[in-house]
Amino acid sequence: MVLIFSNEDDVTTDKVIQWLIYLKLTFIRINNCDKIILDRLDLANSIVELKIIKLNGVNEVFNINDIKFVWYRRGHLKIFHTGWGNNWESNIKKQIRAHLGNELNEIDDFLEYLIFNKPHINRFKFHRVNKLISLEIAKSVGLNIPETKILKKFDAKLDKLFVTKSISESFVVQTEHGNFATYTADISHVENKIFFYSLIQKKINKEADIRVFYLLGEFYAMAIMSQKSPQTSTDFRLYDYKNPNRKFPFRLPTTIEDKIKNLMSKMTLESGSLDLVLDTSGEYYFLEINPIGQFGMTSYPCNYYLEKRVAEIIFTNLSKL
Amino acid sequence: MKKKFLFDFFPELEDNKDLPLNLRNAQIPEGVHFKVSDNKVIKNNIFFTKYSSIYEVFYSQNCKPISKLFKSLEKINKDEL
Repeated sequence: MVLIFSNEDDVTTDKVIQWLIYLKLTFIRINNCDKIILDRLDLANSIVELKIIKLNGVNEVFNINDIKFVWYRRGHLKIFHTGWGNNWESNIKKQIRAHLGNELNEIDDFLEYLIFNKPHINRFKFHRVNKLISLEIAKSVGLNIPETKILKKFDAKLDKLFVTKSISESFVVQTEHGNFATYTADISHVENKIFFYSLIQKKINKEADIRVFYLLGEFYAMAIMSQKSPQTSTDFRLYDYKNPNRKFPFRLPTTIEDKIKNLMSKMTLESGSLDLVLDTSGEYYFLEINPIGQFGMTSYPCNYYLEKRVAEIIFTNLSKL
Repeated sequence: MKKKFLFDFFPELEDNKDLPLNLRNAQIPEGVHFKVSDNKVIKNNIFFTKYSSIYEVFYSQNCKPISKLFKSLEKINKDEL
């Protein structure tokens, strides 16, 4: 049986599951909005039963020891508990609540250990990658990275073009006027201006954006000709719907693939979407990795059938058992 | 000029030194939001992806597993969602 962690609205997961069904594999899908209850834990008899309460009220119970492969796509692995009440403000109760939280964390850690000790693609622990760490490791394996700074103030004149982006993930501000998303943006020097810690990187003279889906040593790359449109030249996600960027399958040089393999190994990631840039002089620059990034946007334009490939890899792993 | 950026709507944020630089460029993604009923943007985000001539529409931030294919955005209305 295959265990899948995902979000309830993740279309990619739906499509991989369609292929799993085609391959006659059984699976359990735990979505982000599902409640996970520890039903029974009996180490002597190798029983660790979880009950999954779905939004539609359907319950599924399974023994973790029956799971043969795990695909961590997205989502959480936290035991659900409601018995703490609302009136926990006294000092003693706060201490007890903190202790109960620690108790649950221990169970969560054990479940994660047990689940991801099985053959798997990615794991909950690394669902979020620190951009700065990934840049540092990329540099250590020999990949080019853009000149990167965290600044609170322009205290020296910037003599190059720079862009700014979130230190963590893209941020969406929800307002009554709509939802505003942050993108990579060009910045200009403002003398003595003070701001919150901001990630700025030297702007690369791009030939193309390269989006790479990495899956257990396999590379599926796509070139995005974002430079052809002023709207997408700094961030291709500012889609030009009237004149969409051309996207096509792309083959990375073996030397770059080897460095990416090394990077993924050091980051303990089996899979992820990587953003690279090819500059006008033919150099490749690593920007970031997203272990839970969309790969439909690479799969469809390039006819890679990545959803099928994920299912095939799961199938192959189960066949070896 | 058409308002586009977060700071166009909230100019009081413009000189706030506690905000990061990239918030300056925060904007409503073009094509992501569209109205499904009179004068009302649907509460939860609706995203769509265009694959060749087919639009795939899905909710992004709620718990309803809705994903449907449409041949054109004009044909999408709230009843179909």
